[in-house]
Amino acid sequence: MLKIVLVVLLAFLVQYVFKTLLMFDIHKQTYNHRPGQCRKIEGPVHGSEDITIVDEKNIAFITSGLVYLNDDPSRATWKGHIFVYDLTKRTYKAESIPILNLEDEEGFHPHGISHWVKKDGSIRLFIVVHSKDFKHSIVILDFDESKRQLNHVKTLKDEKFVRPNDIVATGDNSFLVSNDGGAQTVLANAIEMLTGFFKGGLVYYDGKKTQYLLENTVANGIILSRDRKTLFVSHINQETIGVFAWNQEKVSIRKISEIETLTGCDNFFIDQENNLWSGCHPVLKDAVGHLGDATNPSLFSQSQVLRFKFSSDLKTAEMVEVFSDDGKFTSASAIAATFDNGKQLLIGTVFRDLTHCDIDVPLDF
Amino acid sequence: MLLKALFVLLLGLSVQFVFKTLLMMDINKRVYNHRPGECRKVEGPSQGSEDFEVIDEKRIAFISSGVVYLPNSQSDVTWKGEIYLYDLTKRTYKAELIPILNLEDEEGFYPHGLSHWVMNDGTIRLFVVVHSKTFKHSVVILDYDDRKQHLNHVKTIRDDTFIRPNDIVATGENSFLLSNDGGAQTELGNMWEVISGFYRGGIVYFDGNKSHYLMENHVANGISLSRDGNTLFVSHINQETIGVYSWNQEKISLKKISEIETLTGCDNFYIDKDNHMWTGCHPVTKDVLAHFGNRSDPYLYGPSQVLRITFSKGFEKAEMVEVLADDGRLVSASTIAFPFDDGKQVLIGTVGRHPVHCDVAVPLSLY
Repeated sequence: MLKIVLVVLLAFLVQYVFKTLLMFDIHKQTYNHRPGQCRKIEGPVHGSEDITIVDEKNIAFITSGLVYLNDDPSRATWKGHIFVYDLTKRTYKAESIPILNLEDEEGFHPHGISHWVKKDGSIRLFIVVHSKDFKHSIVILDFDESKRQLNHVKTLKDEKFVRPNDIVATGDNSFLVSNDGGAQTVLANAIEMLTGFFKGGLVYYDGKKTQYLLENTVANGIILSRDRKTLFVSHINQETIGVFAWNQEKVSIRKISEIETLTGCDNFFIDQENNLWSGCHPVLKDAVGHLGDATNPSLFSQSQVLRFKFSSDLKTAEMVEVFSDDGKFTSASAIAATFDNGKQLLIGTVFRDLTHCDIDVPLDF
Repeated sequence: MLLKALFVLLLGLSVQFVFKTLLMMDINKRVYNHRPGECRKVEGPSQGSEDFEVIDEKRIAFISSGVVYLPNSQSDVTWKGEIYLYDLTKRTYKAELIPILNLEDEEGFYPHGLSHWVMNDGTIRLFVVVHSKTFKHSVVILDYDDRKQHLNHVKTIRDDTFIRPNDIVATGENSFLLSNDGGAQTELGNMWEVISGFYRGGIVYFDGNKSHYLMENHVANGISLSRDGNTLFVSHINQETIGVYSWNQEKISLKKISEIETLTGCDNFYIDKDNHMWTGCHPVTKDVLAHFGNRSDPYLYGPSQVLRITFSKGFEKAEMVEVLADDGRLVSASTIAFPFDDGKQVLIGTVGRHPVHCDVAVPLSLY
């Protein structure tokens, strides 16, 4: 009897070790390729983790200076920034934009970003922010175009912002926010990842109060389709993308499908033709090494840009790999966004610079 | 007590063996499609384009088609073995079947690896690895008649050392290097060989009169010489590595320089004018095995990958650029690729399907 228990335990242990090793992507590597000429953009050196493109004005806002699972606040020697990049001029230079009237300037380390165009045409930014000691909030800023600055509107703190990662604006004062886990320290996060008992999820803020839409899962990047009816959620640790029907009036979400990618897709961008773009981490073991010691220049990890074209029923997707790098050029890609009718591409990274590429290859075939 | 320890050891070994085998099958891998430019299938060789031989001087490529590999029975082989010619200057997307005169065994001609030698009078001599329907092996030497556009049989060579030949590199008018990719002659035997890791392939040098073993108890798939003829590249496809050896033809000696890990099953090689290596690979072993098991089934296909590999000086390391990756619907089980038109075009060959001709609109020199 005891022997049987031991054998079962041993079998479980073996299969657990096996699964964990596969989760860390041993026996995998990237093979470099680019869709055209690529150049680094001057400006963001300490990350370009998320990008939101304002089509109406041909500009991109880029978050930089992320702090993540920071056990030691003194290690965060960099500043958080919001950069603006003009998508019409090929300057290869992004401009850091001043933020006025922040409550806590030192504690502004932006993560996910989204925008909303208000009725008067002004742009409102919604930003997931962490402080140096990894406290979380959502900061709302209005873009003053003539003065080229961001004005602080509101800072929201809520117990449901457990460990926020990304955000999608759904109105002047409402948004969806993803929690990518529950743990607040590196060790606890390691335990959460290894056990598979995830405490992240999805929260909707309607302008007054928050409500849970998804719980006990991993939700990293999130984005809505152009018609705002479909929500895409990155279950990054499971290497899948969840597709959900979103009904804003009823505040309800319904699962449609889950696309297996075999790569850790981070943030999302929806292009003009409703293709989903993502920056991914194809080899998790190297990503963990790099992200764990972000300022070490000799550590880097692979980057991958995928474009997903969904079937009309949203149950399957065709994947095209637009860009792939071993990390020496672009390390740990987190977001990819296209512009200029799909002829150009921006690739953002978790803790490094921003890359601007031409797209000279066919993507529809 | 001893028995228990032995049991635990045996259990550990078998767990580790299963783990390694699953990784070898690439269970945690997939292909993400991308193309270097517009791509089109080349008409003509529909039953395979396993190897190409480029004649720079004449801007043509020979294509071997219809390879027979570890056939279960003769009746499974419903196609013909052929050699095609493709004009690299015209973008016809159509390869021409070229007649072969005076073959000893026309029915038993299933070409595999190809190589060529330009003779003193400018004639092109082809060296072809050939299998029969019953998987008997030989090397066939053919001379190309440029004017009449056909191939004349010169000689057929059979030898005990041609155990299971795969690829060939001509080193003279009557001499060549030949790879054996294993020892087993049946599918089941090959499975045992692959799983156990006791390989019986290797490299053979034929000097015009007799053959010499250069390497034994190995897997040697594609082989190619550097442009200067001093370096031999060997695909150890089952180990997912490329072996680099210095080759001395006068002394008939091979010396190992390095072994490049690719984590993909690279098949045949082409060395371009700038000494970059181009190769067609099988990135997901489990899918390509399913395709090979029933090659005529159009619903089964294998993922493809084209890599351009640039070696460091001294051949210790290599940089890899992935030129194309495909889940198999466009290019199924790629084996070979080569650039032409100053690198602006690429031709990709497959084990059992047509070749694909692509434009190259992307930068390949990334560092």
